[in-house]
Amino acid sequence: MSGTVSAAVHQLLLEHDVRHVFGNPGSTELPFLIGLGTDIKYVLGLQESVVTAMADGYAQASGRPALVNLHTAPGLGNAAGALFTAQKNKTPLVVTAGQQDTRHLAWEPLLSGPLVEMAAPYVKWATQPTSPSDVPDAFARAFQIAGTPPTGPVFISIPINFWDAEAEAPPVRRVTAPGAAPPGALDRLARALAAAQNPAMVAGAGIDRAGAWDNAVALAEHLGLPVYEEPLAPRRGFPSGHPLFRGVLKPAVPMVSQDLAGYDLILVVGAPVFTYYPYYPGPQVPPGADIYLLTDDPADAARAPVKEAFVGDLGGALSYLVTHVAARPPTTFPSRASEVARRRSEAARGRDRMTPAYIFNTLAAKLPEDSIIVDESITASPTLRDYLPVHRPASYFTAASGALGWAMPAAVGIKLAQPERPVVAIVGDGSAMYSIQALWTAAQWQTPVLFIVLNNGQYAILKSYTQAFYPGTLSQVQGLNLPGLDLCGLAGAMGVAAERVSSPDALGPAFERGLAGGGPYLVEVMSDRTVPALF
Amino acid sequence: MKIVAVLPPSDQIPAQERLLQGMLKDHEIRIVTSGDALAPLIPEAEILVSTAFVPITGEMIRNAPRLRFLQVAGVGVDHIDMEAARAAGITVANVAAANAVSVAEHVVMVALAMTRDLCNAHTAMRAGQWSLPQWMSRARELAGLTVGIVGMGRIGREVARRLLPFGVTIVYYDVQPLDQATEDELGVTLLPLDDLLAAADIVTVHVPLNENTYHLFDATRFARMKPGAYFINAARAEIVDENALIEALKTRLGAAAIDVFSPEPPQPDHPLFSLPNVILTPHGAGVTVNAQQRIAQGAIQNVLRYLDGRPLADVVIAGTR
Ligand SMILES: Cc1ncc(C[n+]2csc(CCOP(=O)(O)OP(=O)(O)O)c2C)c(N)n1
Ligand SMILES: [Mg+2]
Repeated sequence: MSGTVSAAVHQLLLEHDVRHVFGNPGSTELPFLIGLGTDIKYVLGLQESVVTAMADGYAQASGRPALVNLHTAPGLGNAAGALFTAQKNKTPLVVTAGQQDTRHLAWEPLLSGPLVEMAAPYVKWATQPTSPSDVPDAFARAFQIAGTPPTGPVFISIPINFWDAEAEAPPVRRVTAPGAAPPGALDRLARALAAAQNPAMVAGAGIDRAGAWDNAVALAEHLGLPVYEEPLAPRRGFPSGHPLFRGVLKPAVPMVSQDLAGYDLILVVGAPVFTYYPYYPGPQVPPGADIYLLTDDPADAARAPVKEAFVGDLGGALSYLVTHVAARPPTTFPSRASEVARRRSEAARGRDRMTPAYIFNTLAAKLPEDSIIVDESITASPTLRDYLPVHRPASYFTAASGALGWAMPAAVGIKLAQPERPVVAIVGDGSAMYSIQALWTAAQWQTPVLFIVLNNGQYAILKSYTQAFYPGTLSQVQGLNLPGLDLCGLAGAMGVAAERVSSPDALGPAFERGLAGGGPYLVEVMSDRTVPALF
Repeated sequence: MKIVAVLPPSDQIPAQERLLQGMLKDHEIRIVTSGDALAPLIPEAEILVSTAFVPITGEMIRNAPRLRFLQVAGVGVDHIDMEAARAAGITVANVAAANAVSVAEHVVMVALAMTRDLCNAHTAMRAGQWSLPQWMSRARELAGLTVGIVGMGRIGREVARRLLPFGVTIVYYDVQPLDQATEDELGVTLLPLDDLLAAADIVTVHVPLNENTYHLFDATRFARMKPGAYFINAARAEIVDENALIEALKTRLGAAAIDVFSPEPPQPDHPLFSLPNVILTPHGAGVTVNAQQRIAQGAIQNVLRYLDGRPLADVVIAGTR
């Protein structure tokens, strides 16, 4: 039965269980919108970085590729930063942008542009079909490529005149992703683990993405492995309250080497080796240890300076190791009670100034256990990871790219995908301003996200960086202060209830109101302005 | 009324006597400085002001048919036979918070002194030695250490307030836990005693002495403490099994600061005195000049309240006489 491109794409989207499309429309999107019907909801974002980050959050939290609908070159251009983040996040996104009518494209009409070339650096695959009948097939391929590990964004440019042309929906493809690395290879790793005197594990975001928490915990407990979290993990691969959890690695060569000194074997699971931020001279991996990598990403494997990397399904590889390495005699796990005590003492010290420790300790007491944290708290992020432990998978998200403007819209997308779980976005005042329009979408959809903005009046991390690497120059650096921002005012203007907290006693009750549900809520915390020494 | 006050012997006694007589003009005041001097006055006394160094025995109380009000010029009441006082229907009051700040500051002082090995450095320099190498291998910061406060009453809370800004983690044990708001404000976390001992780098004791706390710190408890940990007792000597402490100081603990002894004063050849890792003070943690003034004021004010028939502060036993 033959129909239009629009109908064929629509049918294919339903077959892929697409329930939401995230977009910001222009003329080139109208044919698609006309054919959209009502079973797929169009989630309007008011700027394309907002649109893309919402879709990113939605895709990660639902575990399925999400659809992004952008408008031509400027829409794609606005989305580029968020697309860069989705690529680093390894988020499966099918991104479309409208192209002008092919019949006069050669004359470069208004809003035409080199879309494929623009998208190419940030996606696994970019295409502009040459004929209408290729469009449904391009979607079919796009979903497959985006969703096959290593997952990531793909891009389709669709000329406006193709939508109403004739086409048939392609048959749904079933593609089985590659499995675990071959047993013969994993046996080498099993032997090395058995022979190691003092092995450790570094847990990466890939574990969470692959749904392999239980396997990682099983292997760690089986061998009594101390577990560290990869630096700057965009998702958390291991329960941070587990007795074997040793903390978060810092994104700098000397700090990673110090933390991992003394281990003779380091098994990195689901992470690049490693994500660093400031440059320091020295070996990229801790000297003196044999490093092994389990990953589903051949590119990470190829780049990693490790003894051996195994590419494939993480859960399968981890459980293979559990059954093929003899258990080590169970060690007694040290009590975590003193960790709780340390946090509480530190929080009490920071009460008057409302330090991140105080803020997160207060929040931790109010948060339901199944909450999801979306983090763009920048200088406060190390404290956040320490104070808001994750107890279950898919509970923590941040942008792997380091790009700002991701967390607020991502939180809206996450809440749409996981309506049952409380979602809290924690962002710096600087970060909040890159995609503040996310509040409007949250208000329109009444998604009960708690937005917490840490208003310290500045880009504190840039001051911290200046003090560490250009000592003595801070007073002459311009552009690092953010006076006069009124986040509550912005929230109110977009229909989100908000309150500003200036005294420590008011914080807990404000969080309670924000978590009560019913709709989005923004708490602007006038937080400590001390510039922390982070580097 | 006939008022007897037992004060510690000092050259201040005549001045104190003049002051009290001036303030309590219409009453008969006697000041004594020993149990022997107290005994003949007891049968007539109606109000007794007592300090810890002269025990008030059951026998004394039974010999005091007219005694109605016993005001302790201090905090501890364990020098009094409380059962006898209760049976006799005597009202007993103390000056509850008077020494809390002094004791808490003392704890800060000895915590710093122990972690820097201050006393040994001082002694070595007096003996003409430049002890920098030892200092460098021993001196530690308080910041980052875990302090275990055993007994979170007024003194324990003052200790917590003062130590928190040093950057320490504070855990505590008490049979009566604080409410959560106070825990959050003080930054302290309740642990079972044995977990506290395993977690703390510094353990400081602030429980009252009673049948549950007698020898609370015995060999088993010291064995639970971290190797190299520091121990502070400015509460009561009997809370600690002294032999176990001495053994622990020889084998496990980093150092101890001991303010209390049994008996007091201790024998000059007390085995603690010859250990290199002990800081000793003469039951003085709570008796700074300021605390003494506060205690004297508090005791006098309560006596005046009693004479005036007004409600008393810090009543320990509400009497019936
Ligand atoms: C899109 C983008 N623009 C600029 C930066 C550079 N940058 C990194 S952190 C930061 C400041 C963040 O400020 P804020 O969110 O207030 O957090 P704070 O440092 O105060 O904790 C900036 C501007 C970036 N990472 N991404
Ligand atoms: Mg800021």
